[in-house]
Amino acid sequence: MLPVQPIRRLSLRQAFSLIEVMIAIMLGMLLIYAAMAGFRVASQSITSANRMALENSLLRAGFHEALNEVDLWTAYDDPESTVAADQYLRRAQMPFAQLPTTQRIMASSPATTEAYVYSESEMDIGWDHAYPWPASSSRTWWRANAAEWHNSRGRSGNYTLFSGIGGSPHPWLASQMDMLQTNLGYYGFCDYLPPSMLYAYIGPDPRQAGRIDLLRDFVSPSNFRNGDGGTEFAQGRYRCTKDTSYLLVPLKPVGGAGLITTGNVRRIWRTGVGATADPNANDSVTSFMKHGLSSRNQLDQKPSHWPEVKVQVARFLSHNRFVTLSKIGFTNSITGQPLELSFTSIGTTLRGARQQRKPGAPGTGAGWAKWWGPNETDNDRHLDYNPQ
Amino acid sequence: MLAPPIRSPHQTREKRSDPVICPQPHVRRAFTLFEVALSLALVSFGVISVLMLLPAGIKAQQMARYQILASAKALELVEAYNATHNGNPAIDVEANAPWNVHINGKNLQPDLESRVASYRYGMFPLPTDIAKRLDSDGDEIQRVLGDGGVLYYSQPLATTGFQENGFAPSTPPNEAQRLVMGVVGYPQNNALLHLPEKAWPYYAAYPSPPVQVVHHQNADADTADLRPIHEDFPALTGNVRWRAMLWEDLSLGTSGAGLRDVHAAYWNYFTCDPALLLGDATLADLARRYAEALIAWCITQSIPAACYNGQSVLTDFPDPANRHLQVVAARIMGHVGPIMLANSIPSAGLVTFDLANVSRMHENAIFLGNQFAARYPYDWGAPRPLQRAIMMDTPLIEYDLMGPQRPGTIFGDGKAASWWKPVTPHPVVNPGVSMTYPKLGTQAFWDGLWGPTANSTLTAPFEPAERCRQLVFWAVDWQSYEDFETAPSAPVDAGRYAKYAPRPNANFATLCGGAKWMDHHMFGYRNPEKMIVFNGDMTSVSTGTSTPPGKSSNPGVHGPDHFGGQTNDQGLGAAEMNRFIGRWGADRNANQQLDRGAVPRSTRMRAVTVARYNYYDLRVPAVIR
Repeated sequence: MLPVQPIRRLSLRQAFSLIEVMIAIMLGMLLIYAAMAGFRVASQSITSANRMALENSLLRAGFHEALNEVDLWTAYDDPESTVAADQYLRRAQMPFAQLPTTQRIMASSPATTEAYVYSESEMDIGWDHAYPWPASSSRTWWRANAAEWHNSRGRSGNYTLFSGIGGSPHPWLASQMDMLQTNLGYYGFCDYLPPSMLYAYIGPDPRQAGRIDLLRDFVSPSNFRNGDGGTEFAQGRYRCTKDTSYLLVPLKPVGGAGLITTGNVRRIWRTGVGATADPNANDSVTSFMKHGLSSRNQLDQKPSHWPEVKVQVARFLSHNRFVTLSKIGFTNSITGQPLELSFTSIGTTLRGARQQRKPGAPGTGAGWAKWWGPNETDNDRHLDYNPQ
Repeated sequence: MLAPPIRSPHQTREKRSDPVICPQPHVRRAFTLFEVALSLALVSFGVISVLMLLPAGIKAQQMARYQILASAKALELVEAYNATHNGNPAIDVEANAPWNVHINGKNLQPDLESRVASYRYGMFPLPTDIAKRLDSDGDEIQRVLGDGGVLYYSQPLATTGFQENGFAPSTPPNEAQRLVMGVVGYPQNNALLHLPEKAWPYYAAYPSPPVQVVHHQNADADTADLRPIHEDFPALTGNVRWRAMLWEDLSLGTSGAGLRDVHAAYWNYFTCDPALLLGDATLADLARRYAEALIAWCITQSIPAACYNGQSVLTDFPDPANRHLQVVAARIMGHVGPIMLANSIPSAGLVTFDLANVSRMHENAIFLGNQFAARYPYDWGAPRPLQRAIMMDTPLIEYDLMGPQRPGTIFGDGKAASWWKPVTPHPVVNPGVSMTYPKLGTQAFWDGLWGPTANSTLTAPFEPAERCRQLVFWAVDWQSYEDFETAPSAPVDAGRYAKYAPRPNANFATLCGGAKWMDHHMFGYRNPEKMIVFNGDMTSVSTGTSTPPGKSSNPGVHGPDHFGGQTNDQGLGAAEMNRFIGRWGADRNANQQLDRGAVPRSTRMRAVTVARYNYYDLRVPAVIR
């Protein structure tokens, strides 16, 4: 029997071979690298997602704020504020000024029929907020000479016999037009009148030298009228705003509070053909925006690493379109990249905004006017209805 | 007894001296490579799964961003749709046949995509080459394209309407441009913006003298002047003369002929020596003749005296017959009255001109004009009051898509053409003649023009769904395509080419090249991308090359067109037509340089649905304020 050869003992404490170590190290490094990369990507992704979520939240908040502004007009008049500057546009001859009012004459009970009979008096000189300007009412008819223009030498006769401010038999329409442009400025003038109106009216104006009866500012180039190819006769809203605009100056215009003047809401702006490209020129879109665009930071108390958010609004009339332009902008605080969302939308008219507000002197914080329904007796008074 | 010492396994092994045949199972044996690999795979799977969730979070945020942008853009589009208009005042609107003037093409329809897809109002057709590469849920994008629709992208800025600069070069890129939009649902058969054969309503001031129109060589297409009344207008363009035609003379049939005398009398008065003052004997005599001519016409036409004598304030038409003639009589007498008063002429014929009477003449002129316009929208016998434009001025006319077509040939070209017949809910009476093509308006012509009123649908009841269309937004990075700027514009409808209507001595080329194209007067025409289309072939132009605006810039983009400037996309030349259709692409991110993305055009992209908005689809060209 052959002796059994002893099998060489396996070493129980044998170390890793170099290759094993290298593989292990490589695998380990791979794992560590993958983990690090994963964590880095995860971290970056989470950061990006969080930042984008923050930006989206701000954008959403700005969007909602812009829509609120579209409806509520607080960039032009903050009715709840007790700071007089926040109701600065309630001063005389500004867009939120109190209009002289006319008592409505009701011939029937609103509770039963809701059928009002208006006075239709030519002698009313105030503003009746509920008067619907029916096309069938003869006092709403435009009675000047639309066939006449600035150099027609008056051969068509004297139309002050029929209408116009003063002693004519039909003074109502001219008085209404005069009252609106005098009290509210040109944007309000156009906002309140029926869209098919001719934007000129008869009144005493020595500058016309007796040739025609219409006020010169409303037929010849002026702060209201554009040149429009040399035409100088009464015109509708489209031609009055073709390539030009009327604007409202907000409480905090980009160009500074010094721009809030009665003249700037009675001024025509060249924004189409002929507008200069020079941003410093008085008649440029840039200048227009300095006057018309509000400047309000939304987050005055924000953390320093949050983006700066601005919600701006501009309201103007151009090409017969009442434009409400909203801009929401912020700058990414990491990349420095600006982002701006600008859009136009349908919102409350100036007339509607005025009817949202209780009357009150600047700084009184008169608040919002409650409205319960048409002809309800407990509706609040507002800027268009405040009989003394 | 002492307990045996506890030994470690190693000690045990050390004690053993017997040869080992089979080694004992290794108690601390390491993982095998397979196990390690398996573990790594599992770990990798877990890590990757977690990592895959992270982009999903970012995508969710991106989608949230797009939804905000889409909401804002939808608000703007609907506002622009409802508050802007189709008024393109520097174009021809009348012709002798509907195919000879581009007034009722798709571009002027009261549809959202028609009204807003212009270089003024902010959305632009996405090149069809690119749109065809986009996949979407349910293949909705391709279905829109297959139905003849178009995808759109938006300008970076809001649609202010300023100087056509919403997409002027130098505006910064905007994330909103990654949104593409489409309108889902079919447009309806809309009311006509204008009837080409007669762009009713015509307006006149009330009161006013007989209506004259300034006419381009009395430009009926067969070159013959048609009863001009005077030629006092200077030549404005070369040797072409502008002449005046008395529209009411021709439009009122036999009743109108007598108005020539009335107009002549008015004209003599009005143009008499400017130095003469009111009340001068010569002037007064001319004024009296004006009144007498009118009164004579009224008597000849048996018009009730109450319409013109100022004896009473009217509350209705004195006679149910020939109301349109009563309106004309009252309107002109309203104009005569103040003139007689100003010249201190107390009477003419049986009519007395004192303040009370003249005031009533004025009142009755406006009253009858207003009444007529409001109550008889399909009686075209009298122009509508200029100072009181109302909804009823515009008759409801649509094309009868189910009826036979009217055949003919294209003016200046001779090619065959055909068009649907117009229909109205009520027959048009007293159609008269058009101001531009007065020879056309014979009774036989009108009788053959209209389709049956029974086929009119504009006043028919409808279900809400019939007036509902949907605006759909998708997000897709289409600007990553290598040809996102060099791809040709989407096909431009021929109706967007504004050309002259037929006129004497003109051929098709002159009609196509003669009209002045100005941005501010005809924003509903031309290529919607006109402001940013490249002026020349960009194939060999390097990426990053500057492309400033200006028609002489090449490479460059077209830019704005103002008064007097000659456009370079007008006419039948090859280069002009290439620019018109945007064959060489456009600076679609408005950065004033040529860009090319990294994605080859052979790659398809997935467009993700962002939002959908229902809106009311108009059938008439209405504006809300």
